[in-house]
Amino acid sequence: MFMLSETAFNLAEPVLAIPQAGSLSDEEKRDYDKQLAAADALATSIARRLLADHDGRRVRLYLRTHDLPFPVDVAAGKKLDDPSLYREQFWREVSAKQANSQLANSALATPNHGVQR
Amino acid sequence: VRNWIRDVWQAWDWFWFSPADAATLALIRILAGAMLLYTHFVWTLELEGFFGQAGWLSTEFVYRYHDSAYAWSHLYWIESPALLWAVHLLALCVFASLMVGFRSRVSAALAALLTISYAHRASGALFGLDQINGFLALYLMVGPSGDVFSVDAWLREKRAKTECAPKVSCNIAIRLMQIHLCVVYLFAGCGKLFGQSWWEGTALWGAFANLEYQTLDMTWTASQMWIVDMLTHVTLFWEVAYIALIWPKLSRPVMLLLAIPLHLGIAMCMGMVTFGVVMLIANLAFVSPELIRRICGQLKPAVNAIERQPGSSPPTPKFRERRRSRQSSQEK
Repeated sequence: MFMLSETAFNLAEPVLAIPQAGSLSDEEKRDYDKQLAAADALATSIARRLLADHDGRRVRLYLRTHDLPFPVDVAAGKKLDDPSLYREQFWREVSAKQANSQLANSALATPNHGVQR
Repeated sequence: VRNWIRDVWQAWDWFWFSPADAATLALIRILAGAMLLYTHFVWTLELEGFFGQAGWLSTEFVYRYHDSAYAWSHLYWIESPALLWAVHLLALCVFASLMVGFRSRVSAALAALLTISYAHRASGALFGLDQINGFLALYLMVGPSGDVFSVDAWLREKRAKTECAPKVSCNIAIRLMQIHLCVVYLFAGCGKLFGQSWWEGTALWGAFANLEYQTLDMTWTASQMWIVDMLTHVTLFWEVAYIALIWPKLSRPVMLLLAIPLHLGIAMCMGMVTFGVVMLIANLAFVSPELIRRICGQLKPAVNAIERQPGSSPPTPKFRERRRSRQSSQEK
């Protein structure tokens, strides 16, 4: 479960900052779109599981980042879980309907051809 | 030039194709088999959550994440929870069978396929442990890992009272593990060289100050940063130099001894016990079978068995003898 949060962060954090139009080359745009699609698929997947577990209709996902303190601050008494070290960023809001439509799409996906739309 | 080419060819031949005793490979089979069994048993705690159709990782996400048509997994096709449980329990039996060395060749091949298959399906929930598990399982499939210390060997000795001769395939499997491990450390070390904190000597502070990974509080080093500096540079030097210093007989024991505190340190300080242990298991590829037999208290009968086999003497590199004789004749 812990690695899932690492993957979510690695996929979502770079694409949450929306690039300005024209700032990306065609190749960079393709890579960006791929990563965005993977991050969205993961968000929907996690959301669906949470909605099913808690019998919910809508879920909001956040990325919570825990920064590392400087050694000099820790030596001066700062705790590793000091509230100033946490940052939160909105990631996605997913409804039960959206989550279930992805599940239907997953059924169309084949290992040899990726996702069919 | 002709002599040089012949020497290089013979060295290549000796490195890859001299027969080797299976003790090292067998010990790796037992330990890696136990690790495979444990790590896949852990999936049991949340089996449908990770491998079910409505789990944390949908197949759509996994396909997009891989972006490859070759990330095959048998788990893509399993929809029924009952079937998923049945297949999972069979997989655990395969890993247990590999660990005890029952039908070792078949078990090793199935274990490798299963390990890769699970890894493909659970992408996004894996870490270094799963990669090392994968390469160990793959190379265990290449060699006769069940020739000794196994149920297969026990049954064979009971029936025919014979021991297996050293085999070329055993040597190939061990060599592949050794080279793969060197590449792993080299890439890990070179990757670290891109990070400024590794040059500054503060990189390990990032591990010590990471609360989510912390199992042993090392934050007291904040006021003793020379310790962090030293540990960072020793780790970096060890990883980058591993590929060069693990081969000479003189430096090999030092490198292997350093591997123990380094990986146990990761295990104890960062809560990654399984990762630390599996890296030490992989390092066993550089321990000679003679030493393993000596430790297991079986050296004498094993050496006798090896000596009985024609052409199975421990590989003495002929190219080295030839080079020595050529040098002495030139001196004369």
